[in-house]
Amino acid sequence: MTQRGPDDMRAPEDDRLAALLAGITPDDSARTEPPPDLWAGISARVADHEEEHGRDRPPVVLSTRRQGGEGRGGHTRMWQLAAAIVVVVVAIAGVLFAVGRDSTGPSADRRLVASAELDQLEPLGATRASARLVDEAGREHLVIDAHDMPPAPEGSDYELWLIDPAVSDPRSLGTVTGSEDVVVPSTIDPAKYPIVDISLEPRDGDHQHSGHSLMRGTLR
Amino acid sequence: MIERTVDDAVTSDAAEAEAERLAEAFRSGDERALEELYRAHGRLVYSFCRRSLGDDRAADATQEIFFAAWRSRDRFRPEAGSLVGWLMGIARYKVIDLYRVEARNPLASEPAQSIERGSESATIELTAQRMLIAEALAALPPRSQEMVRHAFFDDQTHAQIAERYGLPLGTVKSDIRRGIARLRRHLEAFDDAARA
Repeated sequence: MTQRGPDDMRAPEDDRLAALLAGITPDDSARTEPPPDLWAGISARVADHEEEHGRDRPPVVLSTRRQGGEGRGGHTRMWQLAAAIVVVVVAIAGVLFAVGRDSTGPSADRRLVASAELDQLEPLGATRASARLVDEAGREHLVIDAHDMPPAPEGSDYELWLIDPAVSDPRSLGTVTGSEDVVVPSTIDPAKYPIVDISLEPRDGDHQHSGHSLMRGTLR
Repeated sequence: MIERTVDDAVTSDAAEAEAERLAEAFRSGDERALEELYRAHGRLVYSFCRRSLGDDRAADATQEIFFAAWRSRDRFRPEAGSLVGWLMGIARYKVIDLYRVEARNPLASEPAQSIERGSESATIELTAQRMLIAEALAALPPRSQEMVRHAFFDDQTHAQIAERYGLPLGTVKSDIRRGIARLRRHLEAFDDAARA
């Protein structure tokens, strides 16, 4: 019988690690080399994003903002508000510039195909959102610009859909948290599915649209 | 193995310092750090995507994951764990989302791996964690790897391992402790990642 010392005992959090280690199969260590042009694709996308949104721009997605230090509340918040307004104005100018460039610039590698303002289907406070369908090297992206979108309630996600005019066949583009740039799968033709919809989906394992649409607009 | 003790410790510390530098550069918005991250762990992410979504969608999914990680880089908290752990945490959510898109689009081809409906998220989640830990284990110094294996796989006591390698018990304990602490940091960051 082996004598076990206190160091031989595992901490409870290591049980998970132990189970993972024990479950590792050769498949988990097998690696496949990505296609050689994959990095170029990522790099181009990042460069495009940086150009469009500008560097040092805070994310548009609202996250839980930490309160400022005690005793400096009023002034700090005023400055934060002023700074936020400047950032939004700069961001809007950037988007307008980018859209203009999309339609006119000969060097533009992203072409604006259609766009839509998303209307609130139920009160969502100051939330504003728009969608742009852009073509980048023959691949369509749906770009959502969302402002002041609160985080989804606990246990739920926002989900992005493209829907046919008869509203009978919603196609999911996955969950979103706010501003997003999503590749439209080749199986979905936005010309046949022009309605952009953001719904609230409970995490209940049901893949169908919940029927609870929050915002909607039609690409034109 | 014994003569590698000092080398292992030096290599291991250097690797850790390098990982910290990369994490800091990435967070501060240095695009070269994103490329370094891709060079170091692109194969892991791509292989995970390929396994869960199939050949056709692996490249697109990998691109989505690195782009999402870049956009949400200011949500990465180095104090909460490793950058690759966080990256795989994001990868897990993206792959689950893409899998769900496939599942809802009857025209799409079947994913490579047949995953039972309803349990797909759990399977993808577990695959991501195992592939992450397999990668992290392989990155440990060789002796530390072996010790962790003996302690976890073979359930040997520290004293047994010390005897087997002819090493002082204290060395074995510290090797195992450090190895486990590193693996844990990957899982902590994995858990810290949010949908991006």
